[in-house]
Amino acid sequence: MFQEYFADSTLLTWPLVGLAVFVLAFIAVILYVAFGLSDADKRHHIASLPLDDDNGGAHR
Amino acid sequence: MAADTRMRTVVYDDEITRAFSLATIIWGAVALLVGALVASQLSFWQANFGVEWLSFGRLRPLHTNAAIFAFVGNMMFAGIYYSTQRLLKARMANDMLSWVNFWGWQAIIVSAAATLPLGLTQGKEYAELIWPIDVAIAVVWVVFAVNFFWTIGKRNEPNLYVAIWFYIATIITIAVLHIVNSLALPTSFVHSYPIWAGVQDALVQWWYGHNAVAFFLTTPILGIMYYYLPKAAERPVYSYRLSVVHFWSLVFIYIWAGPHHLLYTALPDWAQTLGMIFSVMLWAPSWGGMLNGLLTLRGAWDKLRTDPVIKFFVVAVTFYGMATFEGPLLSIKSVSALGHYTDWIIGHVHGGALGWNGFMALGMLYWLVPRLWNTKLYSVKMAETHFWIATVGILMYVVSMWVSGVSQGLFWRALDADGFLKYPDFIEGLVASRAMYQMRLVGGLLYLLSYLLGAYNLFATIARGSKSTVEIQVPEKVKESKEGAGRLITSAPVIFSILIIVLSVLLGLANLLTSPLVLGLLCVAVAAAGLSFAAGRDRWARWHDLIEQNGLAFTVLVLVAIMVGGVVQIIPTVVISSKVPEQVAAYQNEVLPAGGEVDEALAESARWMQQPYSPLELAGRDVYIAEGCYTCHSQMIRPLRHEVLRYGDYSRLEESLLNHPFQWGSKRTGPDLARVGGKYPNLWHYQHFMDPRSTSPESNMPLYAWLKDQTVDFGEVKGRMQTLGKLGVPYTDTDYLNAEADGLSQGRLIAADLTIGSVELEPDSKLAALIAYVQRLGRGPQPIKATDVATGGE
Repeated sequence: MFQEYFADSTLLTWPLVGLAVFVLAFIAVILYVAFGLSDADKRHHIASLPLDDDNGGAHR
Repeated sequence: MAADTRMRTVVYDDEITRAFSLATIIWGAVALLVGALVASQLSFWQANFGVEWLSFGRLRPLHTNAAIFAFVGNMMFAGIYYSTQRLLKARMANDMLSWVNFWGWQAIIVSAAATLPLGLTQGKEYAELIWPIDVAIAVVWVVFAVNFFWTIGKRNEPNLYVAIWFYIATIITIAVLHIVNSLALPTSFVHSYPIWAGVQDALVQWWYGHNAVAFFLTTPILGIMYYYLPKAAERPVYSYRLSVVHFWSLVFIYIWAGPHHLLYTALPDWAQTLGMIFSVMLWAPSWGGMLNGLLTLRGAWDKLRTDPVIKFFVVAVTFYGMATFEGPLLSIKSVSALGHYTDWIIGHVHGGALGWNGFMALGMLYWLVPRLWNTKLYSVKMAETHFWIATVGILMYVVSMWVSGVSQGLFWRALDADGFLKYPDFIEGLVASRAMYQMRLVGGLLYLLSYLLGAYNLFATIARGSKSTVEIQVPEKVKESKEGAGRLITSAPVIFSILIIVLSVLLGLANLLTSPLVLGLLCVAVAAAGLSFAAGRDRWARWHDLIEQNGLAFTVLVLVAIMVGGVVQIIPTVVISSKVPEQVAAYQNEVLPAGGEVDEALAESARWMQQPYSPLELAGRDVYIAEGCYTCHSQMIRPLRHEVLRYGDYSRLEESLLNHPFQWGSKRTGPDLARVGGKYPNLWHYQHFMDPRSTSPESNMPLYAWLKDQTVDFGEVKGRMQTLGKLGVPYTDTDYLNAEADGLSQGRLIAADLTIGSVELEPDSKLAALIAYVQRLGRGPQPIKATDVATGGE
């Protein structure tokens, strides 16, 4: 019954949208990581953010 | 920096971090103490001391809520408040909001601690808290979110470090999960029924339950790992690229995995398969994150010998890797068939909670507390001792639960040469687990002992330190460019992405004639996107930078990522389970009388369709929920040979469609109860509730003798029936009118039946109601009047 229900239902649109968003998002992230973060200085700057947060900071 | 750049001073608000750190230390001890008590009750049933509000079913939710929301919750806030200010180079936007967050959260925890032992619960795992507390959680969470995003808006660092991304995902997702799962219709100030029922409720609950683990116990702690581990190791994260992939893949995949808690249940199979596949996919990003964490220590492994903070972090990340290996493994259907409902799950959960969350919390506190109080750790040696005792304790805990769990799974499914159950008495499996339960208790006590040692060390550190304030100089803030959002929306990657998504969907919906055209358009779009990318690789690659620098765009994208999985799973299930009763009713009332064709599927659905509970049964069901019976008993027989042999025919989706909330359960310390109705006489149940050892000599179930002296308020029951009526349960006005008379009448039948054992029971007692409820399980309507009995009842 449930299989027949789905066969005739427009609800099947949702998994298709999900699949498309999912695949595209991964392609986009991989492209960004491969090309957008190709600059080593930029990567190092962002990755070092936790290390320079208190630099020059004063305790009182 | 140019010499003429104007600078200004930013003073961090560390007072709020200090408050949350102290709360973490205190509530952690409470959570572990309650955990040790409930663990001892499983070994020694007398450990509730005969006090109803100390019984296992009431304290277990208190333990889980305290561990998740009080211990990890406060730790998460402490970690986020400290790191967010430093990563954004900005003080929290509004101090008052920070303190509303703090005191509001503590009030919620105290309210939970006061209500759960009283049996005030919604009966949904990890979401037990009554509706006014749920509302308070939503309000406090929004306050936290406003303060957080406001701080992002006034930040002095253009780049959002990956830890901030994890915090954003946490805030957005928890808000969505909590609101959707908590939707309920109140019947009084302390009671409500969820709007979801049966299979809908099961899916929504485990979409929430699994993702509470994902987005409350994992993503914020990963954010904390990405900040505090590099700090402790004094070197940047191993691979920033990997952290980007880790974040997006985790956020996208995690939200789909909830149905792995419902494998082989009455949840439609497509949803189970989806949950299993995405759970297995989680292996990759989880291990990517674990390796990224461990490899951050490259060149600093020597610190492992001397620095307790690094020790705690390394073991925490290792447990993260182990738990995220075990989780997908348990999500494979054939493994779940063995492990589900057993102690293996308890071992898995505690590997995550004690190992990953607990050790991350303690590593963070050992790093944070000396800095917040501007001093050195009171005793490194004591911290080392804490580490080793806790490690031994946790290993004893998880190993005992693995052994116990796998043994139980094998015990339950063992068949003899003729294909029948080798161990038909459920209690045999429990007896075999007893030694492991005691080993678990010792492991838990060791962990608690070590924690108390750690707490002493931290308080001694605080006592010899003094509060300090940190201030830094930052350039005058440059306003965020408003062009960012516009450029983002009109950028080639976004336009092509939307185009390809639309065409992909159209392709899925197209028929044989139109699909070549849509496919052609899709190919053109992909080719055009490729050409655009080749022509402007840099512009394409900058899309993430634009998102990253625009907090709103980033948040919206995270929301889309987490909503996709939920929407895809929940909407079809809600629609389908709402349609089933309508289709069955139409078939029975219109198709068949008109001489229509017999539909075997609908006829089968009609056969199993649940009928509403009688007033007394409903009152008994509320007692069952209040006492937390679901923490030890399931009501879901899986279509596996050994389960059908032991408990009866497998459970159908139609059988629980009216259950607000569902009570399928997730653990079998006791047997499944889905078809227990009619299996034993009323007298057996009476004796079992009064003294479980009288009917099952080796049982570890608590006594429920107090239910004999507590009475059901049928006026209240009537109100609850009316609320359920509003939620779609087919009660009639006559049912409401006769609620008290019918309730008392059915109670008298049970009381009269008990007189054969010389037992006197008030017909309106909660014990009579509970007996009525368990006798109804797996059966149709039961006799509520003497005349019904005479005519055969159902």
